[in-house]
Amino acid sequence: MGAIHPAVIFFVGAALIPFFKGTGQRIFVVGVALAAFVYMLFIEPQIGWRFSFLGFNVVLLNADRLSLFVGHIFTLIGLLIILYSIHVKENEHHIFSFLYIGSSLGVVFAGDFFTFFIFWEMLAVTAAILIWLKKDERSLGAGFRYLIMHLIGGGILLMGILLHFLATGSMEIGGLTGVPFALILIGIGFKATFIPFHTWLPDAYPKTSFTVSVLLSVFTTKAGVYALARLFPGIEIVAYMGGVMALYGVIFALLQSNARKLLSYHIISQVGYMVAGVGMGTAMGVDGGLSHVWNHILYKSLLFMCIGAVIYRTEKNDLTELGGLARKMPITTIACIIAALSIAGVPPFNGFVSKAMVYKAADYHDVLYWMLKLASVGTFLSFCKFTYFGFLRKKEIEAREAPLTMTIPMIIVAFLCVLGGVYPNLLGNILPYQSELHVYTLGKLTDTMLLLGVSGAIFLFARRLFEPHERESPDFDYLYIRVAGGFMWFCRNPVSSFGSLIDLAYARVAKGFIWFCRNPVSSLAAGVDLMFARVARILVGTDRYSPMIAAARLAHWMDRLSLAAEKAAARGEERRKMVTQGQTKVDVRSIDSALFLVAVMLLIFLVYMTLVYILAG
Amino acid sequence: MSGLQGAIVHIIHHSMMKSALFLAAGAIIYKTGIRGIDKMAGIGKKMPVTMLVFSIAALSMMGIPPLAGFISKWTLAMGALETGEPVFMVSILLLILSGIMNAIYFVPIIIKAYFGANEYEGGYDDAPPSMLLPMMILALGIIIFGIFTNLSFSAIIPAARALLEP
Repeated sequence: MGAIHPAVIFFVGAALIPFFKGTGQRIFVVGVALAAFVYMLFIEPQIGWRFSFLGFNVVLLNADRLSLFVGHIFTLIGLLIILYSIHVKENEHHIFSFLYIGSSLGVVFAGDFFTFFIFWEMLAVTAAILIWLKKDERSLGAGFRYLIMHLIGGGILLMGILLHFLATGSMEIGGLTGVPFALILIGIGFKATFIPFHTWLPDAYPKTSFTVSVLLSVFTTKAGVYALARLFPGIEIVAYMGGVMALYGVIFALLQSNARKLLSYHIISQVGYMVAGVGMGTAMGVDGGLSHVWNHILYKSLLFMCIGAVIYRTEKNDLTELGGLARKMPITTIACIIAALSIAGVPPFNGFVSKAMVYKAADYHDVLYWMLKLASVGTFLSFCKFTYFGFLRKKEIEAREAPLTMTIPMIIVAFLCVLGGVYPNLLGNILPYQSELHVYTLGKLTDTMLLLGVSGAIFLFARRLFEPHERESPDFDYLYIRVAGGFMWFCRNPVSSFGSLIDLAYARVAKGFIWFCRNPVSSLAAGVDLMFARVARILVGTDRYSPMIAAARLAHWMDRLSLAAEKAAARGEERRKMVTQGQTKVDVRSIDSALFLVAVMLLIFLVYMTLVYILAG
Repeated sequence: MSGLQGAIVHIIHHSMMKSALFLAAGAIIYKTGIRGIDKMAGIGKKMPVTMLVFSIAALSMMGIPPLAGFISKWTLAMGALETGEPVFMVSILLLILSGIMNAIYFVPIIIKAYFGANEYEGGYDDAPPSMLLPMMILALGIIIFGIFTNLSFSAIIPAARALLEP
């Protein structure tokens, strides 16, 4: 069996959380996270936890340099975030945080596609539950869209895995070709925020509670990057997708005024650097991408922690309302500035080091190199905007410093950001390829300072340009929702019209029946009735028990029937009017479902393409 | 072979999931008389065990690993792949689609029940233990049969073989 799987520590911890209350629970939660972090330091590279399952081997623990590297940062930041969110009282929050972190470790250590897929799906479900824990309308909707997007991605991934198994007969990770290659790339792209599969990220992250958004900002996307590093190193299209993501994210980040939305778009942008590094596939590229994973996790979670502390104290989230926090929350402000300098790639902070490595790897890809450089200008500008309008500018605001349980993790993370920048080779020992780069050369420093100086000057002189405005910048979700709206219209009009057409047809039949009953039948019945009555009176002399009475009853019921039919006809007429005036209400649950259905149609198309491929090949 | 195994295992798993769902729905109707989903907001507070069983069974129906429903889905997909006929690829697509469709049905219920505004007076008021016990056994079964697949497959593989060899 060998070593214990690190995810198991979190899963068992999650199961035990309900048995602790109050302070005991806090100590327990932090203790488990600490235990996982310390335990992780002692795991040797190995392959363990092999099981035979449905005729193939399942490997739960595949610890090599790559997975251990990601595992270390996941447990480290997991510990700090759990410390940061210790003030949350709900059991559910801690339980699902643990399950979420555990699932991400499961993805990282998965040694075969089956295990990988299982934890991949668990990651999506636990994240969606974490989003829902905010329990307001917006977060419920965002969580639903999040889950559906990830289930679609998971479905595509599952198809890819199955096709891969069909082609090769093995569940081992790697060795992808053809259609499974494309499907698995797209499936992973849903988590690694490939454009245009990224909409769940800026949609959901600003709408959850702030502790959850710190947590989410770390694991989901990085699990995606890890999967790319494991499966698709050195695929050119991936590298260029990284460049596109870096630019796309930064452009949208510049347009935002909601602080957490700005940071969310920056996740896309920074993940772009990692994807670019991994996609170039050289030792320097992969190492640069992965050390960017490490550094990004530190400074991005620090940024989310800072804005979380601000939300905790002021309950404000929007750059238009914030400002003047430097005096009131000095520790938070300093931590935020350190994180902003790191993400902007200013020496001597850690972002500078890993970005330099990615640039170095991109030396031979001119277009990509300039895409990334351009993105770094945008990053610097948007973080000038973030820190200036969010924290530094003069403004009256009510706030006080965040509690110690929040500031201590923030200080630790900020310290790690500086440490990583000052001693860049600390990471080198645990990186998969152990590449070393002397980043502090005169050329690199002047290059960077020139770039940043220019963008800083732009910000200084054109500050008004960056003034935050409350506006929504339409992203792909706008398109998706429009498509969904079109689909809704399609549902509403043809379906509803079809329904009313049926009504109308029934009404016609009913009318005909009414006419028939009224004219020939009624009059005939009445005539016959009368005739029989007369005859009966003549013959019997009494009305009782005669067959004529029965006939009369029949006529009476016929009349009632015709009355009912008349009513039905009137109803049909009314409905037809409502349709023409567009007042019908069709019971379709919400736009989300429709959005989802559109995605399903896309999926059908994808499968159709697969079929075509298989038939042709 | 896999297809037959998948069919048999799906009989077992589906019977557990569906009966858990029906028992949970029955317990809700017994306790509150509600039949409409729109009235179920906040019922997770009132009947936590029932809704937990319901959620586990629903997630299993969606084919979320590591629950029993996923094992059925996986084995059936394997069976479809084994034939190597492109026609059966459609069935894999349908399996995945049906999982997502199930998510559309079930996820709003779960969201409403646990995270919706609480509409109920009073706190915990779950169904009697005589109702809860069978439901909990079924939910436990869904989890156990999802993780320890050898339990069911040790019986199913011989059964499938016996069916194939007259």
